Amino acid sequence: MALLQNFNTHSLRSTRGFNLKQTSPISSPNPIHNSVLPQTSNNQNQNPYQTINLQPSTSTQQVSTHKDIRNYAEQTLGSDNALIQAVKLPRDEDLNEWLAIHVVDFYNQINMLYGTITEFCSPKTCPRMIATEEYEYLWQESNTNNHTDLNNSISSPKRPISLPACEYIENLMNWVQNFFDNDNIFPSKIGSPFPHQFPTLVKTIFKRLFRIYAHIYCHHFHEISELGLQSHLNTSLKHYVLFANEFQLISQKDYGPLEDLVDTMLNK
Amino acid sequence: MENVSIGSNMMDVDTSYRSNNNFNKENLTPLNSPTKSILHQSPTSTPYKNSRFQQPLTPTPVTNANRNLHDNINQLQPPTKYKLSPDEFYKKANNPKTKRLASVAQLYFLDYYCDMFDYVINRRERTNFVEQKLLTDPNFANDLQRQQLEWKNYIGRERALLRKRRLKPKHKDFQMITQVGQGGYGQVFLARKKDTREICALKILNKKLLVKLDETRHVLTERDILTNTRSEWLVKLLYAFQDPEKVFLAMEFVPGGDFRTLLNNTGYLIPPHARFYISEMFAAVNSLHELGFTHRDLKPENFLIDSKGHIKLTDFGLAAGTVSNDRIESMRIKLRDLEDLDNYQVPSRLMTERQKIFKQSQGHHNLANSIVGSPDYMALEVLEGKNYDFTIDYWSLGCMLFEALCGYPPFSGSKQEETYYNLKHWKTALRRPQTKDGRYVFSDRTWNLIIKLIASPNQRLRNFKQVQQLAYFGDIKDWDKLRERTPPFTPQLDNEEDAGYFDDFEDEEMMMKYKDVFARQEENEQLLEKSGVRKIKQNNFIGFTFKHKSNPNNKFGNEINLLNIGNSQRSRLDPLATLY
Repeated sequence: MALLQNFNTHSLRSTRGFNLKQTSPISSPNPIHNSVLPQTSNNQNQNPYQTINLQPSTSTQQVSTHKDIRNYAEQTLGSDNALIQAVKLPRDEDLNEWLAIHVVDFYNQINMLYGTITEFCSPKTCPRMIATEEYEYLWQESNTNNHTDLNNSISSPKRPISLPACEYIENLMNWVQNFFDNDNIFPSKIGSPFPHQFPTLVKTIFKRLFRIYAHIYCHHFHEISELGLQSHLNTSLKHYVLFANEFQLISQKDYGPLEDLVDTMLNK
Repeated sequence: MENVSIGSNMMDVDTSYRSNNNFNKENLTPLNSPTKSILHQSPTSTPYKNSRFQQPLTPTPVTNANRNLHDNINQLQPPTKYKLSPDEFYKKANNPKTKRLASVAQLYFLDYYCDMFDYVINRRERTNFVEQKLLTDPNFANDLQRQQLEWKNYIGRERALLRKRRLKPKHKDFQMITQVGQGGYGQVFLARKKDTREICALKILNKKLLVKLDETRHVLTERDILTNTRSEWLVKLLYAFQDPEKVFLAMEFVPGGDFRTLLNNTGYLIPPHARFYISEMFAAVNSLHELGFTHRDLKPENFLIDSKGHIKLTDFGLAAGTVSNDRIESMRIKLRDLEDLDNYQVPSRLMTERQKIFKQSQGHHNLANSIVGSPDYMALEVLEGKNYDFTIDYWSLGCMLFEALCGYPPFSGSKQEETYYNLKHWKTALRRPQTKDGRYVFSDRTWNLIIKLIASPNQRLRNFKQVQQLAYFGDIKDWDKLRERTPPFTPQLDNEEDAGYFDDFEDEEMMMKYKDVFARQEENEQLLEKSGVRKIKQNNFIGFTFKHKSNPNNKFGNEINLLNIGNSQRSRLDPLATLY
């Protein structure tokens, strides 16, 4: 009875209370019926005020191991290499839409992979954006925002500069992110079209993002291995090159130092 | 036209290639390239083998395909393999940030490929289904035009789905309904995701403040715990995302208010009701422990009541374990600097007297305390800076059971110093409450539980099993079916947007009690301003974005549950293999 006595004494919320259930085995003997709402029954399915925490959790899939996923995918897709099937353009799908989601996905994968080794890739360890000693990628600041300063825009393009790998990669990721955030290039509204140069842009993005793989493979593979992420890196690259190959996004020469590795992955 | 400026000047701006041999064609592999002719040392003997950092990689049979991969990767390795000494390497590899990112990455790829294949497979099935229908259904089979139209419609729907999957959640995807919470780093709103119509509690935190006050890790911990669990005892995370200024955690909205509000509304609970809640709280805390986290700062405010009346645990931001946070730190200092109190008296056994003091001293809501730091529920060893384990959460639960039954926490005093003093001398300050006629308020079995929770670490219950076996919980036959019991109270809700169990942030009077919280936020913001004009460079938290699996954008009509495969043992990964 303490409950009832206490109910309205000093409540912060005088209009409210908790509805005491009649059927509760542990409720006190005098249930209150002060609710303007119909008494809710115990049957949860009849509750018209379902909120999200009432949704049956059974609809969520069981995340299992990569092995399970692979077996299932290969079985269902009828292939011994599910990734090859997975990159193919579904019948009548818009090519740009397919390119767009994949370039975003790969961007996220690279961000995740490179993110894990940021501690090991500093201006000290990697003062230049290289992939083996044979390839260095130079950064050239773009001048597109400089419409006002006529002189400046005439005198550009700026000279390409050598940057520490981490800065180069940060610039590159920001450069890509800015396209993603531009609704005229990566439209978000259902039905808005892609710009007609979209496939060309995707090619450029693919070519450049690939350099991050190249840098990781040539200079951080051991660290990735030690962190237990080497199969993820390999999977990510394989998926990337399978996709790029399917839609002719990267020319052979742009694979640079990874050419042989890519050939192996493409089973050439 | 700044928008569609992907003209030629933006292309290839950074593509210049330079090599020591003055090759100037981009990315051309020079003839006689050393990468082609010189085989560097094999990396199979991993440099940091047998380390404490990770189990040594088990040798795996190298298949032909893998051998090729292996050779390819070998060729790429520079002659001087290690930029860091092993010591330096391990220092970096073992730092919590790297460790977190590595495990987040593991989970990310698992989720990604699970999701991706699920999509591809489902899409094929949908296509087949539509195709079959168009060919066999007499409505379409004989009408080529209708057939084409229907197919076009279907393709349009697929395209829309693909576009939705591409988009990250954004702040503007949510319609704010009302504010339901306020803290030093930001606010919580009841909100609705516009496209999916999902209701959620949207927590918005100021990123710069988090970075500045070194609280980033707490937010990331919370996000990681939430994405890692499907326990129904823990508040679910629906979406996590960020923009340059803020981070957003869209969580399941638990509409029944918190346990503090329930206690405020009731004063105290009759014993069977108290047992109902404390058993659920134990189960909830245990599910957090099972994930490997200790909460450290459990309070009645951390337990929410869901629409059915069951308990859910929220706010695991502090559950990091090792990081000292400023609330706990400030309490530590307070305890350390505590001087002897004049006129200190051992707290009364008399329940009515203590109830009165408790109400007078802190009001009912304890909000000020959640900022300033009152150690009402905190185990002494945490504040003494001693080693502690997850059973410190048991202490907190003991204090909450005590309060639920008699209306005041065991160490509450007339002012905060007294609470500290009581805690410091908890052995004498913890007294079994009595009524005026001398009867004990708690039954023997209740008291027996409490003194095994509020106890020195070596006297305390050591695990959940021991808790369950106590006589106090003797009536509970099946701990796995706690949520099937009928709760003593169910929130009365008008509709799913009803935030009536939370404080009304439009009500100025009610906001008086948030005075300290607002003051704290202002203080924090000033701190930021003072820290100067130095622009904190774009600081995106890596591994933050999250969309829950069952989000309606992932569904397409009749959904087929695909990956219903049991959790088999995680196989060791072949160091050179790809996963798919």
